[in-house]
Amino acid sequence: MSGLARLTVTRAWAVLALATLVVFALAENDAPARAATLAILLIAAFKIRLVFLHFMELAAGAMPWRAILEVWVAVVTAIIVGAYLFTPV
Amino acid sequence: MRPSDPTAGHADLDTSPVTGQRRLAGDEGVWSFITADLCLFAVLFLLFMTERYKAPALFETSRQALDPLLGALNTLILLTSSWLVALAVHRAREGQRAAVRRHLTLAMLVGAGFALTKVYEYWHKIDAGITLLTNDFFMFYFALTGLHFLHYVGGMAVLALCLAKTRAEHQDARYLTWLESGGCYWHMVDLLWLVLFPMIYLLRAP
Repeated sequence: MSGLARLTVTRAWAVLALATLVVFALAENDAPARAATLAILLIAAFKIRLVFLHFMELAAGAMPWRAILEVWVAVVTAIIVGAYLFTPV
Repeated sequence: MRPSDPTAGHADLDTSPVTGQRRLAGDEGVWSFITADLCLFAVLFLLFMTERYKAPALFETSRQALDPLLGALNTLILLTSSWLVALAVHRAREGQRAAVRRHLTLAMLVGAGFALTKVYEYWHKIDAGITLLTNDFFMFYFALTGLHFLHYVGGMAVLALCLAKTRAEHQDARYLTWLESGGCYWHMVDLLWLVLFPMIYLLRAP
């Protein structure tokens, strides 16, 4: 059981590392700035969820802590994406 | 693992408060602190984005002076260190004391890379004449990354304490709660950087 849990943690780390490389590629290429930046911010939200679900072990739902972290990532992403989209060019 | 240790090897040792359907990894007081800290940072993110809204051109030109490679490197460093700590917690539940020590030591060694990169980055900026007083963007850059760095230093100290406890104490319920709580604090340091890096380094103006 614990071996399976360790495998889950290692898989999460591999996905997080891969996602970081994708983010760096998106930041450095010539893709349209707005689309690339929005993709980067959504990937960041996905990465944050992986960290609290698998590293902080909230995947099975220890309440209210999982709900708090889910709301936090949603609010922070909304603040940054919203402000980014509405900032005058 | 000591053969005489009555608690060693209890893979499913339930040590923490039960909340909802499942036990929480770590102490509830530590989780309250983590929640308060995350809320504080959320307010700081809002302030940063508000100031960026007021001066998008200044924030864009200033952002371009940052090196995203260093930010990405630090992301990989913190993620890898966090992963090693998560593995240490699982090993502790299996009662594998030597593996816990190994993973915590590696986590600290990898984690030390974050400080090296950050000091290099700060040094490079200050050497180029860029400081907290240069403009609003760099005020936020130094304040936010500096506050995060203080959390990182605290996290490294917590990991050192967990390592010392692994060497000195029996792997009982109290020890496991310590390790889980310290681990969750370290993951929070990682989690905050996952917001700071894209928000400060990568918000490219259209």
